[in-house]
Amino acid sequence: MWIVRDSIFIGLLEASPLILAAMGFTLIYYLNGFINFAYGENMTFGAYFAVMLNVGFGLNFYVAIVPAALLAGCLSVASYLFIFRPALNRGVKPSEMIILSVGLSFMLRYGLVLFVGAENAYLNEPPIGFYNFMGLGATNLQLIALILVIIFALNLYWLIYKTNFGEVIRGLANNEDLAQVSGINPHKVSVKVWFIAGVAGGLSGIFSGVFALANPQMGWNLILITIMVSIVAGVGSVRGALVASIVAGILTSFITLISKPLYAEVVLLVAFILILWQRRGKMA
Amino acid sequence: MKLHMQNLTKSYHSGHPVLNVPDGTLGEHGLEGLIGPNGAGKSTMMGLLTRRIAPSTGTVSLEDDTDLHTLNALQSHDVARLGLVKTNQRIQGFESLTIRDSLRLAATSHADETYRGVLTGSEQDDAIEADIDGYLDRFKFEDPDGFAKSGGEKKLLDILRCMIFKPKMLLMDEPTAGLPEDVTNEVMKMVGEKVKSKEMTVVIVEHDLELIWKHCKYVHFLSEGAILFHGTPKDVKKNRVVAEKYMGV
Amino acid sequence: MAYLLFSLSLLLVYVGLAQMLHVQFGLLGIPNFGVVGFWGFGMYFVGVLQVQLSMSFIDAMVLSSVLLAVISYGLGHLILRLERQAILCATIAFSAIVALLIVTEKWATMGVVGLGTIRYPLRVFEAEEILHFVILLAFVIGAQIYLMRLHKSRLGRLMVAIRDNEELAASLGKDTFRVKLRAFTITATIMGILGGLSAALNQFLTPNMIVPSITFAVWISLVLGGKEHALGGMIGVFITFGIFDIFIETYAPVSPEFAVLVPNIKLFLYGALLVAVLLYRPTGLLDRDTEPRDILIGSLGAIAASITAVVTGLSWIAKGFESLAARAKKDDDA
Repeated sequence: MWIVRDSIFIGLLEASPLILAAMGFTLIYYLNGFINFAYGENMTFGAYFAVMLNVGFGLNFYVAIVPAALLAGCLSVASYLFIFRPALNRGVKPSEMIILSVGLSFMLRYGLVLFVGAENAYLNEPPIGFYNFMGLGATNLQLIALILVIIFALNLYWLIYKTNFGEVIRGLANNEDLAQVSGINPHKVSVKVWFIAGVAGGLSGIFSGVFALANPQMGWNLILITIMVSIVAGVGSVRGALVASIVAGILTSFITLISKPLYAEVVLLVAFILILWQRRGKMA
Repeated sequence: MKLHMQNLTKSYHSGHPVLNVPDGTLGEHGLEGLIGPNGAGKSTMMGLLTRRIAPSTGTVSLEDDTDLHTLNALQSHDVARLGLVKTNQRIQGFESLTIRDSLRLAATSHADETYRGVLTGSEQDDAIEADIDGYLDRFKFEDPDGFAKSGGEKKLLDILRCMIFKPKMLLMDEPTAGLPEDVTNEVMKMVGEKVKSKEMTVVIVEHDLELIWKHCKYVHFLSEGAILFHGTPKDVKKNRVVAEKYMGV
Repeated sequence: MAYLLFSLSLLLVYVGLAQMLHVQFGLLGIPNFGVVGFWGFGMYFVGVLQVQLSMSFIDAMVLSSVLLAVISYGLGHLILRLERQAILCATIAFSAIVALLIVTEKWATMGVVGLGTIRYPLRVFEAEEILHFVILLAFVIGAQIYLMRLHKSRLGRLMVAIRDNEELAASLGKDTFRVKLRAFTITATIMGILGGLSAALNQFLTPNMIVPSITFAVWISLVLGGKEHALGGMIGVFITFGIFDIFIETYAPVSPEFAVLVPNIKLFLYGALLVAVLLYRPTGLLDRDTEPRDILIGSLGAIAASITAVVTGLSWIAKGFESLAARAKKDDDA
């Protein structure tokens, strides 16, 4: 039984960045219908913005989170306005949009390396305290991250499923022409969605950075599992992405507890390919 | 060649069946028509017959001179190889193939498309080239060595691809939509010749009733997912059900 | 000289990979983003069999190819009916699996410690490097001739038709899934064979050779050169690999401090280039109808122009760095 308890606990703690990333990624996938690899760099840049504000400008860690996430949101909007929207307008097909996003991903990643170097960067974290929780340890940072993620996720969920704006997004994703006729400005909505997704990605990167460290490759390492989670969850379902990322987190920590961490990844990747196969014909 | 349908139904999400044919045969009379109001299930039936759509229940089988083939377990390329081919209602094409290449593709047997063939390189098959020349003489394209340009040319090319494939049975899904009138006439003339010489049987799905009355020997009337009536054009025209449900009389 | 020969051999490996990717993506529309997985599998498997089991190169190569053929056949069965975005993700996942297993299976691969030394397959002469280069050259030329013929053949026409409209091709009696499965199995296996040949070239293998940037370098070459043209991949590799990995590393006047930045600048520019090509010239340099004569003239011009541009740019940047360093030093001294 301890395995179940431990994996749920550790899984939840470690899944928190993944939950944010999966939800943000899914929003874009849902709205524009293509897989955005550059979303990984959105996470990386979020972490580096936090490092810049926290270490460079000496802001308190908690204070630095907010502007860093907003900057990540702006980066996301910029990538939409300057790269993806022109491409969509030119009629680039979804499979080529992905290649485009991989190109942008490499450009951003190695552009960053040129500026900050390939070495790891560390945040000036607030003092770390350990809390005991039914015999399991968690740091204050992990708990705060988890709480923030829950708040953000609930907000996002509420935004998509309970508000007018959410309805507009869903309408736009299903039928752009129809939505346009009913007076929705798809351009404005898209900018907002890319901003929200970017903020989620930035936060996700910051929290990954808190748990480990910031590195130019971190986004690329996270994007694959993010994509897997979103696809397994079903195309464009924010609800599904939420559930799938929690399940993936728990599953990873379960496999990690009974074997080596790298095997956990291998098992997840194999499972991913099998799920894709089993679902053939059901993707958008 | 004939198509038999037995207990054939198709329903989506366990709802009301969009098609329900307890028993039916197409292709007994050479050139047949299939008519019916919008939403009657004509496209669904076409999809079921060529295995593009899987049926909910029932079987489709193809009868040629010697055998009866059940199509249920087959994929769409197997169905085509048995000799059953369909022209498309919506415009379909290969955007990087020229008109000639597109026809060559359809005329070439799949068994000749091999890795070894790349090396031995018997590039042209004279019989196929002669066949293509024949079609391109009869039907004029703006640039027969280039790409099909207008929607009409693409639609015509789609029909010619099916013709040159030499099927034993051809289903034509709204062949005249988007074709100029003189081309339609020429296509129908050619179809008539092929049927007469017993090269193939043809079933036409059409909204243009004049064309159906003029060319078809036998007509099936489909409404609300069922074949309500079939008979000679004369009988169908006189039938009360058809008049009420379709012709709005 | 030895280093140049090594670089040229590696260039040929990349050309080979781009040729195979051309068949997969350019002709059939299969977006294989796991190139490094197939290549890396062949490289490591041949290496392990040779070093750990002292197998001969040929035996190791045959065994590895058979195994990879079975694996890619199985993988193809799972993914080739999926839509393209899913194929892309699944192939990335495959290459990630290969990379992870190379790290975890230390008993065979030696993990991060590294695996060596792998010898050249033919050791009849003193000049085994040259011989290996000749083998690769013959391989690439052979593949290129086959590709050019494939483009004019019935099979090539069928592949293009499948890429354009698979359902329509199937309705004309073509067994499209089998065509894709076969082509994928063959080309993925050849990627592994190129990996096996690279094992001897590298002699010492480490897991950090199996990185996504290799897949990416092959992709950028193919997309830049022209994915639908038989020569597209080769031209693309000449431009990308030729400039960055051969010309600059061998000839360009770069100071050592600056040289460490070159790989990062390279990948940054690759990314930018890929974005620019997809936005402004989606067909790449060569579209499907470009004639060989135009290719020759155009590519000579392009290579000359880009070498000039890159060298000028680099020397400018290098100068900037040097003056920065000089100023910093002056500050320190002060």
